[in-house]
Amino acid sequence: MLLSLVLAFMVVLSACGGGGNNGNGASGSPDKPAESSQPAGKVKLKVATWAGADELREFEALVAKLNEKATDYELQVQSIPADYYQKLQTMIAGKQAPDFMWLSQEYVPQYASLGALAPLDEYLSGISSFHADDYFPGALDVGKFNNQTYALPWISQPYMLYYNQDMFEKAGVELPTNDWTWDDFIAAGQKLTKDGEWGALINNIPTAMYTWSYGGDVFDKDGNIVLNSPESIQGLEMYQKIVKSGIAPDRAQADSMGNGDMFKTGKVAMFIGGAGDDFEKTVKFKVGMVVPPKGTKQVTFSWIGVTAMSSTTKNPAVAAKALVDMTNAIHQWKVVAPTKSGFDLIKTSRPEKEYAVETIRKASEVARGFNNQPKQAEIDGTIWEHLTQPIENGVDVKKAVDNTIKKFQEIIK
Amino acid sequence: MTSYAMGKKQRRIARTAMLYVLLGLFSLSTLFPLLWMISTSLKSGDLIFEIPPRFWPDGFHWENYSRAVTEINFFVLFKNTAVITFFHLLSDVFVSAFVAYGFARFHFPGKNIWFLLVLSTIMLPGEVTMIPVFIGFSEIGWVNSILPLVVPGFFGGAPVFIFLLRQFFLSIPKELEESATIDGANSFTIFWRIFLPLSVPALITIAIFSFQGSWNDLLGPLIYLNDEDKFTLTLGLSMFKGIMKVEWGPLMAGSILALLPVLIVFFLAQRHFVEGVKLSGIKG
Repeated sequence: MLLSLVLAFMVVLSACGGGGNNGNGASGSPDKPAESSQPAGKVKLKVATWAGADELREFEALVAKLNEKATDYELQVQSIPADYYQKLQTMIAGKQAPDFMWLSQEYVPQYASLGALAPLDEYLSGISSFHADDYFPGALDVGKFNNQTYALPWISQPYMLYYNQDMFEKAGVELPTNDWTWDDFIAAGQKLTKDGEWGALINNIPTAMYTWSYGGDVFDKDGNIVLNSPESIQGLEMYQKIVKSGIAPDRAQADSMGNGDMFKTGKVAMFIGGAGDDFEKTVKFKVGMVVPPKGTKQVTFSWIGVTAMSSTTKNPAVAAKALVDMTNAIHQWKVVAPTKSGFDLIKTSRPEKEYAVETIRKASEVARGFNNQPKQAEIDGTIWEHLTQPIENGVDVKKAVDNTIKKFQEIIK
Repeated sequence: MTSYAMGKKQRRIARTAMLYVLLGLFSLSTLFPLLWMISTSLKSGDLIFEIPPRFWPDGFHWENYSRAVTEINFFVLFKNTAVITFFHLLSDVFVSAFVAYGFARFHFPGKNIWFLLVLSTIMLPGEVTMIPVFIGFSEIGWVNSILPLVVPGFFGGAPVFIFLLRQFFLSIPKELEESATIDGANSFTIFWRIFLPLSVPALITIAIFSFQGSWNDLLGPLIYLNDEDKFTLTLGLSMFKGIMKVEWGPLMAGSILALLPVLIVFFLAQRHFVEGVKLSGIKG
């Protein structure tokens, strides 16, 4: 009996040992040859991505094509299908950081200030296939921190004003134009708001975008707080005016219906959302889009994804070249590309958007991300709690701004 | 006389019928999410969020199943999950029992302190230890293998299960051991031939928890596995949940396929579970 148990344990242990050898062999091989055989062979570079299922297959196909052409590097896709940033942070902490990582724009300053990302400028200047002036400036800006480029954007989805043309025509309201101001937006919204139907859904709009509309901001490019500048206050007051005008369902109600669903089902006439949203294919009414309304300045928010390079990559010069090649290739794959040259792709890969290509281009030219700070997550939380919500609840704008700034100072001190 | 009997019989039938209707309604409400999952797994992409919701799918989109199987390399992931779950279950059940036996029956210096230490690890949230443990495994080159997921279990089992089994072992009468000792059994034989058989229901319960836990575990495999061909099913399924877009059809189809083994194990274990209860009934 004792013997049988000992035997059972031995089986278990040997099975583990076997697994161990396999595991070690497999885990060691992708990394170690890259270090030792670097001069002779190609530099192996891992790319972490959140792409899943068919998007991942497309990305792997793209990478395979690059690898065929490349003489000095070999890219390897690492899929992180869930809890992307948690795994990324664990890998960085465990000194197993992937050479490249997809990041959403707000993570760049945090990762850069912690030393996880490699500054790119010294390498980029020597790479002929990198064309800084081809990028829309707003998109390239989010990859920068302390005047250094840390990441290259591969997608930039400017927010557009979508409208339900049927509802406008039925109510006899003139269709939105690219030159609309926020006051035009409110006026049209009021004509469209009647029992059970609303003029617009505005939950999606980041509060900072209203400040940009009047030339203000939350933080300027150097990280100084400018939320209390007259321009910023003017923008936030416009926001409060929109909320008070009653053209939009209140936030809780809209959220409970699911973002955008109220627009899809014809309950609201206007919606501000990403240029890549698939309304054209999924709604039963005629849909149109224009550049979002302006204050004194035309500007729109953009959802921007970037690829950053790890500060631990073994051969940064080769890696930077691989990064440029890969980013250029993604611009020929993902809609909406953050480059002027990538724009023609919309017509072929998203034919239903063809009617709006020029409008999206116009929006891309004025699109921008946030001036993100190293502690952006806390800042976003503060904006939501001390700025957005109080303004929606009718608190005096200047008072809300003062409170928010006090909290900011605690965060960034 | 007969009419009275008939009435009684009819009343009984009526009562049974009502009971069945009621039970049927209850089970339907419990089963509804599962049925909804099956219905969603057969719907085409645009129909899932149709308003008002439609239960019956628009034709049977079996391609969701083929997509679930092909787009994420389903069978490889299935095998990986099964291997990890097997070793996990083995260590959770037997090693935990072994350790619990020690705490229940042996006296050694500092026993209570050791036991408290084991218990205190239950209170520690996994997120706190995740990064230091990851760094440890990364130092010894175990990252991107299943070793960090299965080996630790063989050095001490799982604290919750140790606690449960220790309490269970404490309830086993000392007399059984004493008579076994008289018959010449040593401590190990007592563990193997008396404690384990008497604890079958507890062991089965732990096995079910352990199976479910490691079959559905996301964080462990996520942190330690890097190559797609080493992924587990939960990782594969979460590929259908993109940042921009969720592929509900294939996600639900894949979830159903991943759920099948759990269902089968549960039904099999349920039978043993009942048997285990009978078995333990004799002991008193």
